[in-house]
Formats: sequence, structure tokens, C-alpha cells
Amino acid sequence: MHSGGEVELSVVTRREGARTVISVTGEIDVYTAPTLRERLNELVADGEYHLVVDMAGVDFLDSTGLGVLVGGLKRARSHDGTLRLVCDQEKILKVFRITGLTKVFPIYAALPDALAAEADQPASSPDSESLRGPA
Amino acid sequence: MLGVELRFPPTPGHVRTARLVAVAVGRRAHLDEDRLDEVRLAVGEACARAVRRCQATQCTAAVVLTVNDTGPGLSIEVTDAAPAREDDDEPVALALLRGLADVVEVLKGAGGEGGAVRMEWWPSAG
Repeated sequence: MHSGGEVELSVVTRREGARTVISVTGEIDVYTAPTLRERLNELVADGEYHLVVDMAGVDFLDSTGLGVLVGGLKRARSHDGTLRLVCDQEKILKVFRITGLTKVFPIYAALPDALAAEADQPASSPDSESLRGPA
Repeated sequence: MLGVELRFPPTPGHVRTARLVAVAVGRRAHLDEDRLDEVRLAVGEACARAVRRCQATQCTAAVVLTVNDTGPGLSIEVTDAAPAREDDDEPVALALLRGLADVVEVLKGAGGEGGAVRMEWWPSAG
């Protein structure tokens, strides 16, 4: 059983209405990402298909972390669910931008927006205020 | 290659150690915070790649990170001893590296033994 990363990463989940919020704090990297993967898999296995990953407390995200988020998105969608991200830190958004994943994930600047939105907003829409930086 | 050298076993837990060392040296080279974020991420990706290559081939030899701040910019190399394999292609990690460093070179060791990634960050103009 993977037990690494308790110091570098914390994952706390709670229900908010019809959605499950996964609050992630710390660093999501090659070492800690499996912990997040396990949690996302558990949630989907338990029938929680509308997920919001709150990354406001995330200091670091690498390609392994991106892979875990993509995997979570696919699993949720395979059950007609959703996986939304909350992030307004430029250094983290940059990772999504460089890899083109801003087109894949609905990304919201703040948790209330992610919870309130009826349908997934297209992540790269021009109306989206959650994305900053050069076009 | 001159500079600060870190040798670590090819395990995921030490990739963070390598990131911290690279950023510490980069800070001494007076890179700004945005560039340091790039260094942190790129070194993490290169080291994670080296660890994956080693794990896939049961190679236990140390991964070597070298951070050289003696030049005008910052020059970093990550070297592993894993033998080359057919399916070595990692488009996402390499695309990420190319979006982060000014120069990226992916190198193969002599005789198919080992590999290296070399990255450079140049000082900003003006």
C-alpha cells in the first residue's frame, strides 16, 4: 500500500450538495500523486461522480499529477460525471497551459464558482476569468 | 561539468530533493521567481523521467543532477544509467520541458547505456 507523501501532500474530502470537494494542499508530484489517484479512485468507486478538486493550496504540480487528474476526469466522465478544478495560481495554470490541458479541464478561479456552475464551463472560453496570462 | 552535483537513488521520493537543490542554486544565480518556478518544474520532470527509466529497467545506479551557475545563465544536466528501450518516448514530459527551459537536449549514452537531459536558462535581456 502506498504510504508516501503524507508530509508533502494532504487530501481532504467533503460533500457540498451534489458535489464532492477534494481539497488538495501541498505538492502533487511523482511521489505524492499516487495518494491523490487512490483517493479519486475510491470516490468514484463509492459512487461519487461529481468531483471538484480544489487546488488553491497546491504549491507544485508536475506531469504525473496532470496524469492523475486526467485519469480522474476520465473515470468521472465514464459515469456521466464531472471533474472540475479550482485554481487561480499562475504558476500552476501555466502547467495546464503548456501541455494544452486548459482545453480539457473546466477550471474555475474560486470554489463557489465551481460549485455553482450548472454545466461545465469550457476551460478555454474567452469569458472565463479563471485563466490569466498571455493568449 | 562544473557546479553543484547531487547523486540520488532512482526513487520518486528524491525527485523533490533534486528540485530543491536546483532552485537553491538558481536563486544564487539571481534568477527571478518565475524562472525559478520553471527550473523547479523542469528539473522535477527530468528527474522523474530518469527515475521512471531506471525503474522500468531495474537499474539501481544513482541519478546525477548537476547544476552549473558559473556561466551567464543556469545550465542543468540530469543523467541516468538506465539502458535505452524501444518505447522511450515521453511526449508530455518532453513537451513540458521544451516549454520551460530555453534550451533542452535529450541525450543517449554511449552504446545505449544511460541517458541525459540537458537544460539551459539564459539571463533575460535588459
